[in-house]
Parts: sequence; structure tokens; C-alpha cells
Amino acid sequence: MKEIIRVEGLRKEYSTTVALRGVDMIIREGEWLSIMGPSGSGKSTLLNILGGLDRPTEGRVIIDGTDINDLREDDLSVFRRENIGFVFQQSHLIPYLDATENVMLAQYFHSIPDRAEAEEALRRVGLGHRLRHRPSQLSGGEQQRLCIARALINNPRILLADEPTGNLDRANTKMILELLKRLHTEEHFTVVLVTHDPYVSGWAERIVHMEDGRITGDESVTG
Amino acid sequence: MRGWFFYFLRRAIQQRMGRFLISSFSVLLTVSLLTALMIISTGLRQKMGRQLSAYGANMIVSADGSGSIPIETAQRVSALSGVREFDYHLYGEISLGSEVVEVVGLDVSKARGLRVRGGMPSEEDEVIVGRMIADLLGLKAGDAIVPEGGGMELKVTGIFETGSDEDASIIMSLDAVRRLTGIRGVSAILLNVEPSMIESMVSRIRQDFPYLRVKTIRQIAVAEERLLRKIQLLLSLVTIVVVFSSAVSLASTMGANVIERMEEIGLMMALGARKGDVRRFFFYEALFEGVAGTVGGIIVGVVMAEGISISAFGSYASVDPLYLLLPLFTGLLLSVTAISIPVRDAVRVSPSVILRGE
Repeated sequence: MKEIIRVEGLRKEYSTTVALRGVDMIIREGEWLSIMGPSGSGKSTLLNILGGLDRPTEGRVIIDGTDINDLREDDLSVFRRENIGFVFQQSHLIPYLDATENVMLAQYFHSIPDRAEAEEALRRVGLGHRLRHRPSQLSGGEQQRLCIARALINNPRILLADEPTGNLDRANTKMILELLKRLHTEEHFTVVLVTHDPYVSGWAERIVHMEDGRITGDESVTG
Repeated sequence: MRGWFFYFLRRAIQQRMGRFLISSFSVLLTVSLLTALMIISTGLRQKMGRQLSAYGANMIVSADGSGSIPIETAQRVSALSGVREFDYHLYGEISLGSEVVEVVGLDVSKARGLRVRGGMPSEEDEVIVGRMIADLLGLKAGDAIVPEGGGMELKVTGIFETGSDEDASIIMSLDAVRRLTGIRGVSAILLNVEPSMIESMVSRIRQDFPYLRVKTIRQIAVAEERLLRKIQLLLSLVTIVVVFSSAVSLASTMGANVIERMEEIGLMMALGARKGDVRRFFFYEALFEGVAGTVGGIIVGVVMAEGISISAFGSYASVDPLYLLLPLFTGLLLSVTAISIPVRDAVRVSPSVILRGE
């Protein structure tokens, strides 16, 4: 498989703490990778830097040949909307827009909103009956499915998910992971999913373990 | 794309109508106060001047010598620009028995500062008599007096008192004095001149009418100007304080609005919005709030100004559309500035920090 993300010597320091202490890794296109680790291990920081939401103190992140740290703020925003979709632990939906409009907002920042396409994306994640519902009218699982639809509407090459099931019960977690698995199989995007839950990481093809800002293990998961 | 921009903007405004109205109301308050103060302040000089002219003349023009001023000259002087009010006086003397009494001819309807017991004259042969003359000659309202050589009988309608030397005179119409004394023209022109134009008026009269003598009644003129300046200064200070405090209040309302929507800002940026895209979104929202608040504020401000003008001066304030430009400009500028600063700061924060809720 072709390499899509290369991380070299990544270090991230905040004023009093060091979140990443020199991380190197390669992620291949179409791979489903889980980053596992306890709270404070630096996994979310790594994900934010991979997505260009944060800048490293040292090191490089090269995505499909582009060193994203060399990009100016606005160019990084453009790169992000062209290549990356996000799913967060908190759904981060716009409360005054309905489900379809929340998806259309992602289309708006990418290109041109298309209501029919947004509604189709919602049907694919099982929200065909919730098109006009506002986020507050959706359950936690439905909100996360809406976030997946929003993240994938622009056909990103990489989906970054930070504890996407962290607020869900086991049944909803399974539902979200099955959905992600199906979409991943159909669309072949790369998934980088951060979790501390072994059940969730077990759905990945590869698991990277982190502790205290370092990678402590890298294992492939077989069928 | 522009259509979709306004679509999402409209949705944001519709669904957050309460916040929109609060922000617009803050702008409305500022603009209405500014509009009202502007209208009142700009019309103040004219209106206060009109009120102050009730205290009498602030300039006296008389003939240079003992003669009188021809009526044509008096009319030209009183028609000069800057003259708010004028009155012609004609002074003479008549004999009443063994007494020689000073008479003052004027437009009785314009006479001020007199305390009259009885009625004011309304006919040419009616007079009011000063307290000292009345005491000396034993006159009272309803009596008749016959000046020597004048060939007319004068009816006393009242006794007046000013507390000054004028109490030793008799006041009657200009025509009555002319008939009794045979003097044509007028002895003096009493002018009430726009306070700011007093100096230029003196120069002009001296230049155009060198045979006339001009005297300003400094105390009244200076007091008028000083009072007007103080009131205008007070209104300017009140305006500044109002605008400043409203701006602070508006900035805190808008700032709270941005803080409340930080998650939205972080999300937009995570979805690929550039800083300019986010700023533009909030800028237009603030602009609409500003337009709504400014239009409403100008209407409320004009109504307030008219209400104040009616109750304080008894007449409507004139509204020059030019004066509305300042409140208009201020309202829009305040709105977009109040939102621009917190949004500028918000988009500088890393989206990862915002979305973590820090």
C-alpha cells in the first residue's frame, strides 16, 4: 500500500509539559489505524497535529508528499478541507442548523452545498428519518453518525477520529464502528482513530500504542 | 457561493433571534441617544437664542448726535442678517401742567421687563405711566391726561414699574410720540443679535452706517454666548460619555456572543474555513445587527429629540439629514468594531484548543 502519512521526529511542548517526545511513524493509504494509550499519553495531540489543527514544536508531518508544517494558516485550512475529515468525541455540531444543514456547512467550506447529496450521506449513515432534526433532537449515537456523514461528505482521503465513541454505550459504539467499517470498506479512505478502549481499537488493522508522548508499540491485527 | 453564505447567515440570525435582538437593541440605544443629542445640540443655539432674546436687546443703535434716525435707515439696520429681534424707540418730552415728562414711543406689544398694574395700551391714545410720575401727578389706571400743545387726550391704562429711571417716563405707541413731539424717524434701534455675530455686526454697522452710534449691552451678549457655549459643551460631554459607555456595553455583548460561539468558530476552522471566512461570517452578522439597530435608533432618536424639543422649547426640532450621518456611521462602525476584535482574537486560537473546550 502506498504511504500517505509520514511523521518524523514529532515533538510538542506546551508551557510546562511535553506532550510528544519524538514520534516517528508511517501510515499507509486505506489503512485503519488505532492509536491506543492512557489519558495524557499524547495520542490526541498527535491526531490534532496530523490534522493540521495544531502545530508541532519540532518535526515534520508529510501527507501525500506535502509537509503540512510548511503551509501557511490559510493554505493549511484549504489542505484540511480537501484531504481530511474529523470526528470528535464531542459531536461539535452547529446547534441552530438541522442535520442536513450541518452536513451542508462542511460542503460550503469545501465547495458548493448540495442538499440532495447531503441528505443521501445522512441516509447512508442511517439518519434518513432525521434530516430536519436539530442536534439537540438527536441521541448521542445519532449525533456521532451525523458527524461521520459530515466528515465524509467531501470524500476526504483521511478520516481522523478522536475517541468517536467515548460518550456512547456499548450498543451505540458497536453501531458506529460497524458503520465506519462499512464506509471504510466501500470508500477506502484512511482511518486514524484515537481511543483508550481496547474494544474500539480491536476494529483496526493496526494498533499503535503510546505512552508518555512516545510510541511504545506497533502491531498489526489479523482478521 | 454568495447565496449559500447568506443562507447560513440567515439561519444563524433566525435561530439566534434573541441574541440578534439584544445586540441590535444595544446599537439602537447608542444610536438613538446620539441622534437625539445631535438634533437637540445642533438646534440648541437657535432655540436657546430665541429663548434668550426674551431677556431683551443686546445692542443699541442710535443717531450720532442729538438727531433721530430716518425710518428707512432704521429698517435697513433691522433687516441685517443676524438680527433676531428688533424694536424702534422714540424719545421725547411733553409738558403735563408744570411738569416736563419724558415719553417713550415703542411697539408696546414688545415691551419687556415691566410690571404693569392695570392693562397694556392697545390704541394710539392709550398710555402706561411710570410709578414715579403716577405718584407725582396722582395718576391711576382709567385717568386721562392732556399734554400741552399736543392736541390729544391720553388714557392711562396702567401704572408700570421697572425699578429703574424708566419709572419716571410715560410709555405709548411710536405714532403717539410722533404726534405729540413732531419728531420723525426713531431715536434708537434696539437689536437682539445672534450672540456669535455681535462683533461682526458692530463692525458692519460702523462701516455701512458711519453716522450711527452702536453700543453693545455686553452683559447680556456675553452671558448669552457663555451660556450657549456651556450648554453645548455639556451636551457634547454627555454625548461622548453616552457613546463611550454604549460602546463598552456593546463590545461586552458582542464579546460574550463570540465566547458563546467559540465551539462554532473552532468547528468551522476544523471543517476548513479560513480565518477570513469566519471573520466574514461574524462581520456580516454584526453588520445586519448594526443596520437594524441603527435604523431603529435613528427613528427612536428623532422621536425623542422632537419630544424633548416640544416639551423644552415648545416647537419641533428641525432634522437636517446631514446630522444623521454621524449616528448612522457611528452605529455601523460600533457594531462591526465590537465584533471584529473578539472574532480576530478567537480565530487566532488553535482550533484544537477551542474544540477541547479550553
